[in-house]
Amino acid sequence: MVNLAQVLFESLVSGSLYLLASVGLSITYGLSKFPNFAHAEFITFGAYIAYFFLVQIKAPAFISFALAFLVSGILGALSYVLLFAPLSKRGSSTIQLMIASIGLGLILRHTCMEIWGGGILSFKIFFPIYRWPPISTSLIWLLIVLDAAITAVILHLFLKKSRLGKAMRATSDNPNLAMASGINVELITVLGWFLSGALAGLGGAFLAAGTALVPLLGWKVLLSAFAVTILGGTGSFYGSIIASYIIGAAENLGIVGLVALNLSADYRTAISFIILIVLLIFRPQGLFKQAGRGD
Amino acid sequence: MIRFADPLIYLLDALAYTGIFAISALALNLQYGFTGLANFGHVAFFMVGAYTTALATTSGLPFPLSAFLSIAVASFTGLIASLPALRLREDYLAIATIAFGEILRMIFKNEEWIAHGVWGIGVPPAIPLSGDTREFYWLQLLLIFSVLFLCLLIIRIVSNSPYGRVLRAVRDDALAAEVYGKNVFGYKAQIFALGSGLAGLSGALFAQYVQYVNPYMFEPTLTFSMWIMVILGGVGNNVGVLFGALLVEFFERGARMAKDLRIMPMDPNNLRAIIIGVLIILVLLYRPAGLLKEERVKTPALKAFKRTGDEGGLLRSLRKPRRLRERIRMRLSKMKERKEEELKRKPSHPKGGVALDPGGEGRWLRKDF
Amino acid sequence: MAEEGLLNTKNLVKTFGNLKAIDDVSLSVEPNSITGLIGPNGSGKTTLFNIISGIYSPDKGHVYFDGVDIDELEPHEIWSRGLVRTFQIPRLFQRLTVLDNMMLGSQGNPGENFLGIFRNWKSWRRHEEETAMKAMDILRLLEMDHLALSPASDISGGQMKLLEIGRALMSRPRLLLLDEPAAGVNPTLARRIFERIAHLREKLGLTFFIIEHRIDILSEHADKIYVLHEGRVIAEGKPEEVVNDPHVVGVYLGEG
Repeated sequence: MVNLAQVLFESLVSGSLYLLASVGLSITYGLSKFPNFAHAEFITFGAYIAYFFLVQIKAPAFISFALAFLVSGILGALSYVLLFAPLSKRGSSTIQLMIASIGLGLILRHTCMEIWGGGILSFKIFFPIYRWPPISTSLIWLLIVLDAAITAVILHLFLKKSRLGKAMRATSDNPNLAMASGINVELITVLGWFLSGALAGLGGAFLAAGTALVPLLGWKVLLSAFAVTILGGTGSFYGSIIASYIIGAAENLGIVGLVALNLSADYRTAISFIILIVLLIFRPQGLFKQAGRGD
Repeated sequence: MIRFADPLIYLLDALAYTGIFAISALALNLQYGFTGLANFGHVAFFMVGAYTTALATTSGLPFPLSAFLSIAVASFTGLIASLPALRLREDYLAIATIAFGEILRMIFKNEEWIAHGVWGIGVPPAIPLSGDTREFYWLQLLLIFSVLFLCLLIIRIVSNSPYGRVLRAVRDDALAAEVYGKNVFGYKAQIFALGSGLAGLSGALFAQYVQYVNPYMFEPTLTFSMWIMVILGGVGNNVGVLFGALLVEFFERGARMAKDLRIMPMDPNNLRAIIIGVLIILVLLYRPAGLLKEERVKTPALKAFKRTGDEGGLLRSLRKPRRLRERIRMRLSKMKERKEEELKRKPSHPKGGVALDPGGEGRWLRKDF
Repeated sequence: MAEEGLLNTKNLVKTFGNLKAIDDVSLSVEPNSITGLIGPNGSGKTTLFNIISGIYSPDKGHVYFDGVDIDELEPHEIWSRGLVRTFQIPRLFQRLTVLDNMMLGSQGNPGENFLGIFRNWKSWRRHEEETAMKAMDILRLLEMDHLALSPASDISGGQMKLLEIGRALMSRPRLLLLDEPAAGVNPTLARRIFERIAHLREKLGLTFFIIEHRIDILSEHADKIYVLHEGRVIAEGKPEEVVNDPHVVGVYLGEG
């Protein structure tokens, strides 16, 4: 018998995780017009930073996670300033930027592996388990859902109400117009990359806390994050939010289907990948964007 | 723990991997360098070829037949995969092909009835010799490099022809090519299938060399590795790609060797990956076309130019278009020279020594990049 | 209203979303003529060319080339029937040489087919040489033969326009659609380009349908001019008539 409530809750958890992992990807894809494969390493890096402070320095959890957010954000911003901006200025094509991001990812991943070893690390936190039948869950998942909600609200307020946020939306929609209106596009872009790294890092920290920290942590989530980004429309913040939960639900509901069909649950990510491929072929602008954005 | 008792075998092993991956890299260059197709799922067709050969040879087919089967199956898979994907913009094509590759790999991993899933299957080598002797490696190299040479020949012929010119036109401006009478979709599909077939052939060689396949050997990092060979060596330059393959593989093998011999304070695998990452970024920043320049289309059309148009000594900038036979001879002797030089540097060691496990972790492909 | 021309369009309509880009256009281009198409920016001239050359298909109406209905044909099929089109901003193959760009304009090269590379080895190699000679001839005509081995990205803007036309000539087309061949070049070069066009019309019996903003230069060579405004033909006739037509003048002045 399928515990629908549990499945829906898991969808909420997955969706929240994807939200943290994908919003940043959508932002940089929209601002810099290329898929950033180093985003996987932004996620992983955040987890390592959190691990460092939490487990090695024994700092309090809140501080560790906040630092993961900050340091990953700086990493994101630096990646843009030191690598992607110069490449763009030299006229690099989308594929070249993409390959550069793969190279960056290599450097980041293996630097982390050199520092922390290539094995599995645990955050050594014990999360109490709650049972509110029919749902049972662990504290960490609740925290993730909570955090995603808070993030969404803060970002919403930022993008809708603050001048900086509005400038960011304008730049994402139409960079030339934004520049002509006097917006400092370069600064906005750096800020966007900071946010991207920061959110990814935070998401990675949570994910590692709830599962385990491995060097390929970010890669496990990256393609699903792309599915979310494309589904929601690249550069669309609200689109990513909704898409995160759709993909989360698709995967978790999909598992039910897989089990029923006697297929391995390993295929859950294949569900997102198939959605991704279908989207790219039939509706690359996603569910929410208007067509004609110069595809 | 030293993997190979005989140090020469380290070199031969590295060359073998170089030859195998060079074929895949050349295929990728055909797709991206000449035709502009950003195929990031290349490893999927390599994997299909490897598994096809694995299954075929374990069922008793001789290697040449298995190899043909690998080419056919990989080609066909490529054609099918390409049909929906070819109209995509390059970054979307890249993402879609990665996703496709991963789905395929997941199927091989989970559907144990295909090929034992994660446990993989053993593959008998094409050369029925024990894997410890130099003879085994020399013969493997002969096989691999003969196939490589043949592929290179075919690719050279194809790219130095009107067909090759159309490929470049499709890359530079597909709409204009369409308006000038070229069936762009047809060309893209053909090259996707051809490139996939070559990747499958490369996978077949890989399977029989490593003598074992399992899904963990075909992660996306392998595709990135092939891309780096192309980007480093020279987009649209076949010789450049060979050079790129050599560079990347020797780094890879060198790192393993360093690890075995424990001569570095830092994990050489990480150092290698970091160096390659830095190299890629440097190349993209300062020499984005790669180390060697793009090849020009060399057809008899150049003769007409020579006869009628040469003013201002432009001919000097153009190397004399030699006949195909002469060019092959030149290339062969250059390759031989290169190999001989490297062999001369390695001192020969007495034969014998402890036979080590040849099918063990030493032959495994890097799991993480 | 469309007579028996080499190219006829009948009641063409093309809409994009809410915008009716082409609104009931019927016109005809006589064989061996130089026919002009003028109109303010946004009047639909390039869209019309896109429909004729097969990049778009019309929502309503038909396009006839030499009596044959070509609306549903693909661009490459239209090209092979002898209807070739150039672009306002030249769409050259940037990383290929000038000579290669020219070679790609030719028709029926047996080496452009995959199996043909191997099966028709001798014949395509011969074809390459012959085509290259022809390409060099045209390049000489355009005074660009010394640039044959330069990458197309290295030549000047004016030369790019000439190359665009040169490439179009390689397939011995019957009708050439030229989209602003003299745009962005100095008046002397513009005159030279049009003299070349007139010369080619004489020597090779070609037909030209030309979009152009330089109405003065166009008028010196065109046999007939159509005026397009907001997707409709508002005037047609000899250059002198059209240029002095008050409606046409009004449309242009109102635009400026």
